[in-house]
Amino acid sequence: MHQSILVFRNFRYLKWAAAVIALSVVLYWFHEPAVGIPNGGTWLGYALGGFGAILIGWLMWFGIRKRRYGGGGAPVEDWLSAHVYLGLALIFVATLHTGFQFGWNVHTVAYVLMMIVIVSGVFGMFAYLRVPELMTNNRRGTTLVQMMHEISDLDAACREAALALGDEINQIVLAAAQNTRIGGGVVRQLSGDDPACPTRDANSTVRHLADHAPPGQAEGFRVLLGLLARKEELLARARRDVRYKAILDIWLYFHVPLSFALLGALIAHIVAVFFYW
Amino acid sequence: MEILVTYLTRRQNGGVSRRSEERSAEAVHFGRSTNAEVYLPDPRIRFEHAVIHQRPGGLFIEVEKLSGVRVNGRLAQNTPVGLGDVISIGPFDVTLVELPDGKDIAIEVELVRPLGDDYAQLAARSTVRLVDHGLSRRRLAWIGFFAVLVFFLIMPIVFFSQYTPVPAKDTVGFRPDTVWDSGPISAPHRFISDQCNLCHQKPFVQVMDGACLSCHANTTHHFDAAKPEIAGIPDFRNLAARKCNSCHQEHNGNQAISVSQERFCTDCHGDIETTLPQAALKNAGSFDKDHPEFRPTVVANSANREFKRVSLDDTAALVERSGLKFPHELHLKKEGVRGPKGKETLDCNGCHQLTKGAANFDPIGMEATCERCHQLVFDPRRPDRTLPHGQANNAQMLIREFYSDYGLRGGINDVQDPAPAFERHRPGEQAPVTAQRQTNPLEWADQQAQRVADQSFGKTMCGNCHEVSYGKGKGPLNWAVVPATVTRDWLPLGRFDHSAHFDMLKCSECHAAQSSKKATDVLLPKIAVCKDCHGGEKASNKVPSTCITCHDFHLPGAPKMGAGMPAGNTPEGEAALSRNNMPIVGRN
Repeated sequence: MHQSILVFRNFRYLKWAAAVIALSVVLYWFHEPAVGIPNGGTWLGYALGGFGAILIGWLMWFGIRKRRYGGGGAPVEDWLSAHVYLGLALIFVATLHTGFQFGWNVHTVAYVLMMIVIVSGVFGMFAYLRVPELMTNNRRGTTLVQMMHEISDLDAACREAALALGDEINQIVLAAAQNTRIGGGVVRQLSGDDPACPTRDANSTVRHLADHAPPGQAEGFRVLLGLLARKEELLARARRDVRYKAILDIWLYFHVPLSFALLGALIAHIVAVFFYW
Repeated sequence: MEILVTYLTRRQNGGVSRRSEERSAEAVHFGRSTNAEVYLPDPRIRFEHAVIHQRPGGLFIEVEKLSGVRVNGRLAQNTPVGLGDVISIGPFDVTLVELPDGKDIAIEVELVRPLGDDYAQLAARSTVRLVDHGLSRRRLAWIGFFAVLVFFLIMPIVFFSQYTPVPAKDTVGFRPDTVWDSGPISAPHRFISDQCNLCHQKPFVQVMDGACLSCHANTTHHFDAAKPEIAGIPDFRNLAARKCNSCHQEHNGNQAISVSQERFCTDCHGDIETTLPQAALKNAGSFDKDHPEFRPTVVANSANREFKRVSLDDTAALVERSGLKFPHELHLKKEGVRGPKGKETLDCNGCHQLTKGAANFDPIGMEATCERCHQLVFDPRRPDRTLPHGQANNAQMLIREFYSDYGLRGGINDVQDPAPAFERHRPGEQAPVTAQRQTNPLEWADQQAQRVADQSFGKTMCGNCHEVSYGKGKGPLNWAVVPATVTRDWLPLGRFDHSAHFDMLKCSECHAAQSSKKATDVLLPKIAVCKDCHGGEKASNKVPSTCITCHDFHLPGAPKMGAGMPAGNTPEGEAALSRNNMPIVGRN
């Protein structure tokens, strides 16, 4: 059975992270600043800040390490598991580094960016733990491309089934085939739905028309409605697939760019602190 | 008519397959209907889309309006057609071809505009990946990285490098380096909070003492580091080398600009009896546990102005030799004391007035405090004549001159006077003053003066309050008063704000004045009284009190801070900064 990165190596990196957190908290608890109140400028403040900065650099290095297949050293699974747990430990290290002093300044900007990066990472972690299974179940052994091919085939079949029916039906069926789309904008992809889906409209309209159909066309309508229902079900699955993929992707659009913004803020933070020492 | 319909299907290899059907009908119907003579199976085709009739004039095509049927490219409605004409019906092209034998009409049908690839069209319509929107994580990352760097690093540095200092009292307005502000400035410094460069004078150099001392020029040190007994102790040299911001850190809001932690003091004072015995200080730690009993500075000898520190525990040695005799008990009697306008009851602040704007009391003095009741009237017949206070010789001369004047001018009515000073004489008649007569009043005056001086100095006036002595064998009028020394502050190294305690406490709760019969009593409460309310710095159920609650670090009389500053914080360094046009408050 596949071993989750969370339980990887019997929680080795959870233990590391717990040790980092415990050490930070204990030091902070017993720390009495030589001067003033707890802040980033005490010896513990510098220690936590220095460690946090190294940690951020190391966490970002994961983005490079993961692209180096067989790059030697620890396997990438180790890196990912450690990335997750030590990234979470960073919350404690950085928060204690601040001494709970926040303000409208570059220092808090760096902190907030870091927290957004971590939160997006937590989102991504849960997404990667949960969504692939949902995706597999939803795909039922096919792929999105295969689903779309099947949808196209159903379009053709619908058209064929409609040929024996009225002109209006044919127009509806043709419109449903020509205007239906999967995915779309970012929000549409994430929603996994199309509130104005032409196929859904066609299905309900045809069902309505079927009630008033001449007796001779009943079989034609039955076939067409069956095809449309099948298409609608396939569309829902395809859109869910797009949604799952979008969920797996969207957090990285926050996680990666904001971590680089964080890197900039971190550099500015460190330079600023010593520029106006 | 007889109809031949040929359906053409083009293959991918370019070949054409033909399938012919023969029909016999009145007219040729084109449509989706399976009954149509020409069956056009496409959703774009109507059930019955067009008809070709044979009329006397030939073949005509009939279509409904807006059916989109064209003959040779022209829209058709009721149009004659003939051999070779191409009729476009929806996606199909219908061509009238040469007639085989026995046929009235021969038609070739080809689907020339098929619906196309459904999948390709669906795929073209659909956007199924976020990346297809042109979102590039890498581009966003670079944008974020540089935007943050420009706004939070480059702009402040550019501002700093181009900043021209303004006087301290001016405001600067918006400055990009505000984003570097690590926390609120303490209230006393907030008036210069928009002038970062007053303190942060050089990049990547810690705030220098010179910046602080440019305003706080008169701040004194904790001790004189030049004293040999102090210079010999490494720890103390270290303390002398501390910088202002070793103790005073800014940008932490109000609470932290002054160091208040006990251990800042107890590091040294906790064991100062061992490390610096010559300082004659007692070990001091936490106020609630390790603070020694108060050791007031009492007057050991008021004549020589000698003082000594005596612990309140050392009751035998705890004697205030002020040179005064002053029973607090007598003055605070409930039934009152004799005042200038009859009996009056005194309370503490009848004499001890809190100095306005200060924590201590106005000094006690004869003129300000005692004289209202204790007037130095030496002759009850002349209550307007008083002796000068604090001038014993002058006072005795004044007494003699007073009685000499009386003796010479007369007007004395003293039954005990043995010899009259003047004889009676008629008005307008100048009585001769004989030597006998002249001598007698002066002798009387001298006697009278000595008698009055003995009485005043020895008993009723000076000696009543002061320790007095008579220089025996040194001639007449030789009283002397021991100089009095009234302690204003028994604990000069401690700070006690009486005004902060008035609201809650009566004087008598700390000072046992009502039962004090002697001026030698030191009317201070023991430390235990303070501890009723005050605890150590970590006290949870008492007023947390640290060393600097009562004591100052910067001691009056010590050399000024800045003497013995470490390298980089020297006056020379400061001068160098001035040359660089850095603003030094109060200097330029």
